[in-house]
Amino acid sequence: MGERDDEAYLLKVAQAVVDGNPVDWDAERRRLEEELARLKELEALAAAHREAMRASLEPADDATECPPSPAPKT
Amino acid sequence: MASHDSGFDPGQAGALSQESTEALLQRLKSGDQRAQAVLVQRYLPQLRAWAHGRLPRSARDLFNTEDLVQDTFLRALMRLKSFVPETDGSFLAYLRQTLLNRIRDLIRKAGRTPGKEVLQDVYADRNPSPVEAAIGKETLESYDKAMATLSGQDQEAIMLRIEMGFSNEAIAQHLGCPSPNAARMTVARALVRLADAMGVSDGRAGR
Repeated sequence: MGERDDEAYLLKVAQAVVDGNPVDWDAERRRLEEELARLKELEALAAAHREAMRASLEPADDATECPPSPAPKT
Repeated sequence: MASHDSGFDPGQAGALSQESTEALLQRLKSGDQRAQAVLVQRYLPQLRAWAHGRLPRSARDLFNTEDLVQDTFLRALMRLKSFVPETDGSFLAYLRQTLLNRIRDLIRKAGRTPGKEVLQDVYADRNPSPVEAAIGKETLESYDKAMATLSGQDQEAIMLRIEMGFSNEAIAQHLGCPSPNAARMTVARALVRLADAMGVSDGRAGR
């Protein structure tokens, strides 16, 4: 993960602590949780692309393309 | 690769296959058609695999993925005069964007063509692409919007690693990073910025 990005973010919070400014810890926690949730979405997107790439290299399975059997004549 | 009308001959590619993408693009712009063969050989497989993930399943009944990718690739090469690559990665990003625009355009046009149920399926999102099926339409739209707000290098880093599965070593080559580890960090930082931008585009809080 981007250490410098994390550091910059945490530094802002730390500066508020140093300056004696109030920190809305619940809001900060929510923000981090949302950020993690988005990274999780990106993980799913990467996995989907990997799977699609793998599938594109496999030969087509003809069995899945079979048309349904014709209805019996009455 | 299937035969096509670009005059591609792998035998021609040999002498130029070690050249950088930038050098090949220069050759192509000055009329050396052998460079086209090498570029096709170098990038077509990745684009084809990428399209497999982004093309709605039912759209594959309408457009042969292979033909669509190949045709888009060759059209993009014909419009090269207006494109100046900063890195090898930016050329692939250019091809990806051209293909993404083409897919969207074809689906939009298909939606206006009456009388074909399969078209209605594509347009009504009843058969989303594999990537959309995995993460959902909203998240994919948010991703695409957020990607467009990033710098060229961030976009390329994410595209190469997340969408096309390049190794860190290959990404280092494409982006001009000094080492695979530097490329890895570049991708990770770009991902953090992308996650942040997705929050902004969704109306969720960014940093």
